[in-house]
Amino acid sequence: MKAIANSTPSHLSEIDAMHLLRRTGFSATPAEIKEILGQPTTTVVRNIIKNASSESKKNSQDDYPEFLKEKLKPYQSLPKTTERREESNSFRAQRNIDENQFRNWWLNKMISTNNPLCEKLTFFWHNHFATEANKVNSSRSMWRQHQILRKHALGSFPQMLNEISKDPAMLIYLDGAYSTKSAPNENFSREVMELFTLGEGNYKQKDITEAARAFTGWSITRTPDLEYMYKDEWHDKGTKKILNISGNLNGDQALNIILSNPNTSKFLTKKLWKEFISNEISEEQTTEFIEASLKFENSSLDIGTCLEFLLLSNSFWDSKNRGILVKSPLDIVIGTIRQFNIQYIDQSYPRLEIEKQGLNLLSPPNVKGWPTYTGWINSSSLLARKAFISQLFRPANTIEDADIELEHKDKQTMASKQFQPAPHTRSQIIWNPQEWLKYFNAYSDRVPTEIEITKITTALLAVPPTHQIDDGTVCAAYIRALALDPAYQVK
Amino acid sequence: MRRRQFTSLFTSATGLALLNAHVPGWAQALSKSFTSGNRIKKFLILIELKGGNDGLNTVIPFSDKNYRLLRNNIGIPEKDLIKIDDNNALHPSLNPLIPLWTKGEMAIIQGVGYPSPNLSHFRSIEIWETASKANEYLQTGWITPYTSWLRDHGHNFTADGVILGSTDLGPLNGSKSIALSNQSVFLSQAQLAQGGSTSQNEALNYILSLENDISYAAKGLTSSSFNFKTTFPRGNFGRSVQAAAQVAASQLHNDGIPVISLSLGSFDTHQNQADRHASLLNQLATGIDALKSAFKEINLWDDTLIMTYSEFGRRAAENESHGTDHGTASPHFVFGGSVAGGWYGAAPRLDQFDSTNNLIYTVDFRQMYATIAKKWWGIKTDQVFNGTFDAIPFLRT
Repeated sequence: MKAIANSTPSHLSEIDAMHLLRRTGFSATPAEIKEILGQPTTTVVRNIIKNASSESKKNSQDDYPEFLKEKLKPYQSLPKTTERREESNSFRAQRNIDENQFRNWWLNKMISTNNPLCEKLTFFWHNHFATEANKVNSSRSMWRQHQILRKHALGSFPQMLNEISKDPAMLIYLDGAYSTKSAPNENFSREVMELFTLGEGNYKQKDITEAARAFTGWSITRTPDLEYMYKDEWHDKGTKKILNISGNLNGDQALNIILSNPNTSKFLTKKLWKEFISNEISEEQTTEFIEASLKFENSSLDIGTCLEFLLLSNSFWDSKNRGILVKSPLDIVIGTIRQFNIQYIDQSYPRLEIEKQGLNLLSPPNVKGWPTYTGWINSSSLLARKAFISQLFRPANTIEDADIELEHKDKQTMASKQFQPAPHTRSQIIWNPQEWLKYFNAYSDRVPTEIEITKITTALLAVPPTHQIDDGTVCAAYIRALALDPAYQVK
Repeated sequence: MRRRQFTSLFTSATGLALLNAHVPGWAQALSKSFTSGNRIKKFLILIELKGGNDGLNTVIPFSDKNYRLLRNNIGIPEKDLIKIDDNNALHPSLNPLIPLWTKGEMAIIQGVGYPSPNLSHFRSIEIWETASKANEYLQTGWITPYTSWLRDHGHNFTADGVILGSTDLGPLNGSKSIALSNQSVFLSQAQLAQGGSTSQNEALNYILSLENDISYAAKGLTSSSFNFKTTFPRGNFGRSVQAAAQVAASQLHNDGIPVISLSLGSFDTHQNQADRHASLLNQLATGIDALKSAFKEINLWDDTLIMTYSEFGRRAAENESHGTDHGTASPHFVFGGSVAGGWYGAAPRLDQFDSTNNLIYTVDFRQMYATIAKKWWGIKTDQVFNGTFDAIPFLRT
């Protein structure tokens, strides 16, 4: 089988640094590039993973959405009267407010973090273990699930699976909480195999039914807060056969059987591959893919180990694999905000923009999660992505340099001007193109030179632009034109 | 499959809400017969002079002694001037426009600008494109409400406008217009939509195809191939001019596209202005000459109005690099078979400047727009741009 050519650089060139940052973060800013430029690739990759891992394990003592300070009274404890219906309505209304606050909190973290890989992977697993907030109907439970995803995002997959499966959010969402030995619910059992571990085709219907029996008894209690509760009287203690292994298996054992099946490591490795490297695994990439999934398996499914292999693989660094992934709404919105240090007044701005692009955190369309890659792009989301950019990069949102003439001798003055929000602006968003352009010694109201064009273009695009940009376009408008180019939609 | 998605996008309320200027409402138009409807009879061709054209060296007030004093180095030599009356001359590169001037098909509007002028390219062009006040921030292009009005009064345009040579919709922002950023790129995207692609970037191809579907839906544009006898100038602007003629020709039997937007640049001549300015003005003049010739071939010249605009003029006094810096008022041109040729507005004084040492305007650019809205397109609105602006009588009645 033809193997892939050696492509992993020993040290990071500027283009390499941009590629790595774009794939492990939301964008590659000039400052971030500078930090890793010329460094040994292995060291940088390991540091990125290590730092993200530390970040993920941090205790959320001071850092959590405000709503957690309040306790919502569960309406379910009330008798079925008009009062209960009213309570239920106000409960839902409050829940929406709380969850929006949660979303804003998370997006804000994505914007301000020094370890975007942690946020990226937390979202990856959020999409993997897709759970809909509306069905769970408890913002506190969504938070607890989030913490599990975050804590293990670069860690042990078996531990994550275990905790997620016994967490109230998942138990409610996939009906495990009500599954009894007399009426075992197959929903969780099916999805855990099809979507969370093995993948379609690697188990039989019978395995689903048998595993469902094993999971019975995993339930919840609603008073005072939603919590996992094992209900022994609901558990089916009989003999079961799951993936050719027999015994009177309980839920933990069922999960272990699934986890140790080699198809699990393959399935998960493929998902990670598609997230970080390419949408398809070509013939010449197959060897590396197999190696990656074996490594993952042999590490007891340690996510960080798999990730390190993937990010140092030839497939990842191959020049053919640059700019071939579609940016998610997070890459577009968060990435652009980070790239240009956009300031905004309405804290819901990122959330509202991302929603228009088809991503409402905590509310995946279904248990399969959000369709990624070209799934992010349809006629309406593509328009929303472009509208976000064209509305952001408007003169109304820039600092007011109106009365400062760009005298050729005023270069020095322009470069040193401090950023201040323009007094005239009623804009909620502030963009300072000059601050960004200083990295390239360029000026926002001047036409870029050939060299500046090259620098600005490679700074923003992973592949060459597809549209020609008008002569006479000044840098600020040039940035906008590049961001509106289809090439900006890929990474 | 994708076309059906577009149809529902156009007809659903959310879809319409999401329609930005890149998506025209063609789904409804496509389903109607192309021969019905009130065909637009008045074309507008906009030519943006990107970067701020130096008006003072374009229309030269040679009899004003201040001219030579202000422009010791870059003043146009006396022997090169094309004198068109006792006081004024045109830059030599504008020679191809002389027949238009002589025939009365060219109007010069002097001193065009606006109060509290902004000297930033990025901001000032937005003021011109949205017809806002200097301290006002508007989202929609100035033409958008007018093409909207025309649609409400019986016109079924194929598109409100076509922008050639740029992806920015500018004056057509918010309208049902499309940007054909580059004719050849557009055509190769059309091939992508038909499945032929040599690029290995599947993701990018997918996105390009989707974008192209938006443009491709306007069949009228890609099927055009009128054989013009006119020779079009070489270069980017010449190609845009040719594309403009093709677009107009393709609409002869369709519902029409009232506005075509072109741009030429960069006029931002801070240093060593002479050669660059001469070259750009030459491209402008030969381009307009070709437009006249081409539109006459398809019998549209009398129904066509060409108008130039620019974010600002340039400073009256030259700078130390044989160039000029950002300025304010500037003359602009209007051409067409229905134009009442001659002088309009008033030349700004060369001995009186504003607080930034720049020329003081005499004609608000919104008056030019008002003329188009009220006199060219016959739009019945008393209030134009949050204020009343008198039309300029540069059209024959």
